Amino acid sequence: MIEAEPPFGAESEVIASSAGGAADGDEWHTVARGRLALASRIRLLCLVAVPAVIAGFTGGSVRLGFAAAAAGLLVLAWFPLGRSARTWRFRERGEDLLIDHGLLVRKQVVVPYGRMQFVDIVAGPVERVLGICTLRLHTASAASDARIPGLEPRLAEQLRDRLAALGEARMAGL
Amino acid sequence: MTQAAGVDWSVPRRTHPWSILVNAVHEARRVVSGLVVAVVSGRALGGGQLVEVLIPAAAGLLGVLAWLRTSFRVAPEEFRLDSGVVFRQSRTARFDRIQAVDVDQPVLARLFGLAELHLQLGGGRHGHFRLACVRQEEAARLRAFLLSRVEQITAVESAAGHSQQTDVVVGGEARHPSGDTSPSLAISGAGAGTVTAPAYSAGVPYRLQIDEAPLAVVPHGRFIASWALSPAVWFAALAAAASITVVALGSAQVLSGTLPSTIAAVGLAWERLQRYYGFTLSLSGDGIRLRHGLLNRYAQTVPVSRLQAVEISLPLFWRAAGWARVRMNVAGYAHGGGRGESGRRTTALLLPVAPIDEAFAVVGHLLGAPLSEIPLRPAPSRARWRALIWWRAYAYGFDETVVITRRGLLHRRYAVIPHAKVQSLHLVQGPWQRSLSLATVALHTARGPVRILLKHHDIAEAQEFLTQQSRRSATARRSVRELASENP
Repeated sequence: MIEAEPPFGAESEVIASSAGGAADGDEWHTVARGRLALASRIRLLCLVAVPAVIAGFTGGSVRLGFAAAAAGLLVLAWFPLGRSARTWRFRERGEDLLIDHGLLVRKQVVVPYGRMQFVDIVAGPVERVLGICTLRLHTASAASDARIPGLEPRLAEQLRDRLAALGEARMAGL
Repeated sequence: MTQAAGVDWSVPRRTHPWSILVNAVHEARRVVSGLVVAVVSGRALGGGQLVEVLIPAAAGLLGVLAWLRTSFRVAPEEFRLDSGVVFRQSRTARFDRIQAVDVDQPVLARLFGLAELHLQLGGGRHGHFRLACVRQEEAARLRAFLLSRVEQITAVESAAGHSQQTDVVVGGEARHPSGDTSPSLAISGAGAGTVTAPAYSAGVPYRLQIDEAPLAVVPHGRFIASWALSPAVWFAALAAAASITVVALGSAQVLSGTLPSTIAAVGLAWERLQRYYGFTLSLSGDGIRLRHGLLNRYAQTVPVSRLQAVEISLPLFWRAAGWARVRMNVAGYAHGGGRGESGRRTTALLLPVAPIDEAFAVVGHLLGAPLSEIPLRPAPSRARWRALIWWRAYAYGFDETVVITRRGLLHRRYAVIPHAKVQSLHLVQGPWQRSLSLATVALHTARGPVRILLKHHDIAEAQEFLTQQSRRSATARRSVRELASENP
């Protein structure tokens, strides 16, 4: 699989790195991309299994329809899923954490350390089998949807502790 | 104040005895429906006439017990409320978590000269305290005390040992008041001097008298006119007219179908009139005070530093009159501030109706930024391919204190957020936006009616804004911390 290019292109790299302040030396960290891609593909297979099973138990044009739906879903989503999983990356800057991802819809999230209320580590069954987990950051806003999937548990715990310490130091009241 | 100096909140105190009645009315829906069910089923089981006496008596006894078992007290760091007959509940509200303090007076409580105290803690669904009821002046004094502690603790939090420097005269030296009857826990009357409210403007705290300085008063005529010009009221009028017609035609079956929704619509319209009638926004020593209400009286107090974001909206139907409505995000208000009490959802209103200029002036004054002087940058004209007509509405601007965004053509909305209140931010670009080199930036704030979105701006500009804004917010947060620590 070809390495997906960074979502916002080369020029955004320059802007982003100029914002780092004291922590300018820090680079982008990537996640366990292969396993993350595998996890999302396994999830896709589970999703495809539903119409496939229905197709197996029915007959005639209904069977044809469900089989086509299953095949179409599989073909259309297989490669984009893998590629989009490869776009996840994050960066610890002086004052905030920058997460950036997305293939079709590209998204860059900035979460200031001083605004983190708590940090979760979650892992679903598929993720656990593959030995990865998702780090979730919560602020006082329900709108902030900041997460980093595809982290190895050991790294996730280190990151969580680091973020907690940074948050403690810079905590700002509401 | 006659007996003022003697109030000591560090010992557990009971609410006023009339609370039993007020609380029964507050729980009316549950109490009445419960009573009806109990009486009907009691009769069905053959209890005879006796149940009609016994069950209400039991309910009354339960109310008395609930009152006997409810007490509150002020501990050095928190407010405590113990309650519950069968299941005991002991809740504590840390002073530094208090987002807003409301003193409400339902009609019945008003008759007895009582008031309910509501504490908003911003902690999600259960972050709300209701203390019902205490005497009105006691509620006011408790509010003044709690709010002074909020400011003090925010100031002390990062002061690292400079606590004696905080200039809060109310309960001044009480950083670690002991449990005994130290005068620090008692508010000494109304003439309690001045307190310092933190302001964003220029980073310098300004002094205010503790008595209130009205910033905006909504005249009754304007309020009623604006109320009559709202779709909810039209809908209620239509529904009521339809119901009356149905009655006149004598088709009772249709009525039983439409009646509940009619009652709901009329109730909503009435609630709006009742709740926001006689609205006064003033600035007092402990924050923004909103007083309103026709039958029930409400007094909300939000410390200026707890204001997360503000929206000035210009509804279509008010355009001819040139009026605006102002809403705010305050942590805690968005959750309805309680268990589904009607109307509670809309308490995030800062001004129900005001001329546009006045609305901008008031918000600008509160946030310390000259809003109308901030130049707005419109979305580029190529955004028309993404948002056909509406692209003209999108614009944003910022100065050293706030970010302001504009959206909506028919219903225009200006959202304002102080840099220090940005929780997190993101930049998002969909495929269609990418082909036009556009992007959307969102600034996240505590939950509430206000959303801050910079839609469909040039990608390079949006990138630059994201970077600069995270820096501006970091600087603003730092200066708020420093301001709090060196509060003179």
